[in-house]
Amino acid sequence: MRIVLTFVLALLSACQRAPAPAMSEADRPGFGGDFTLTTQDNQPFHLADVRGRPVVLFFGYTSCPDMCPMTMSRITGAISRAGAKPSDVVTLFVSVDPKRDTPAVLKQYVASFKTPPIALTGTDEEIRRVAAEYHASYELVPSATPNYLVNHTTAIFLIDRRGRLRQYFAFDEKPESLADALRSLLDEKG
Amino acid sequence: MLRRDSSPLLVVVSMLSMAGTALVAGGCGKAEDRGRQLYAERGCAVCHGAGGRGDGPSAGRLDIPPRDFANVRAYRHGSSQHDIAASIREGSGPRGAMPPFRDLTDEQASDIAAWIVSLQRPPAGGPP
Repeated sequence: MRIVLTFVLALLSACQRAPAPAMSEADRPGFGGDFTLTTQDNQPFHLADVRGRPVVLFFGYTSCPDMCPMTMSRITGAISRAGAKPSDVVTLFVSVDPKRDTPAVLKQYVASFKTPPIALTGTDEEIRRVAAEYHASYELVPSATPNYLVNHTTAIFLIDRRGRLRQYFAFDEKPESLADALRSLLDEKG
Repeated sequence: MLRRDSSPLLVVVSMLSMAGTALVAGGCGKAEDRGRQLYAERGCAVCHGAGGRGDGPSAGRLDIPPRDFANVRAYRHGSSQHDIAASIREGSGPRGAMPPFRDLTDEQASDIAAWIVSLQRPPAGGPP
């Protein structure tokens, strides 16, 4: 009986998570900021619209054959690993290929995720401005086929509940590190 | 409702039930079902399509289009659960093909592979 109870309690306690290490505000990058773009529903989106929730921001494009699928998988995995409900965290996918990634294309793209990210596009100038704000870069790779590639910054940006860029990670960061950072932001008050 | 004089056995059964629920929420259950869930969560459908037919919204813009998982003859790196899991974790080759999803654990890749295997259909006309 005692063995069974010990076993049961061990199983239950295994489901509880240790608190995440706090993320230092002093170490936050000195760039980032608000921006306005257009969603997959062709509606204006302001970063301030999602104030109060942590944000994961990524620059990519929907026909990316490698980095973007890998990174989006990593982001969704980290949100799950952080123990957050998908609605607790906002995932923003900013297209660096606005010519092909129209709102209609983005709408199909986000529908492929169980918890759809918010996909954003804009004019060339708008995208360039947001990328510059986050020190991100991108360039089209000339191609003989219509399936051209876009080289782009692959960092994953974490923005806190107050809209401030707090940390960024390489796309291949360990899922547990990303999850820890997310939990730290989730633990902070707005 | 448990009465004060409930038997110890009943208490244990209740607690095991709670533990079971917690474990299921944490990812227990049938591999195929877990795999289907992961496939949907991780955005595999962007390229492979919601039903694994190779018809995701981005499929038409890839130089090497994804295969229809139903067609076992279309698999270039083996169609067994083990082979598919290896392709998921390690990728399937040159640029434009399946990239490696090393953020997934071996178990998660195996679960997704189990779901993909469940989509396979015998080749038309019988075995070669």
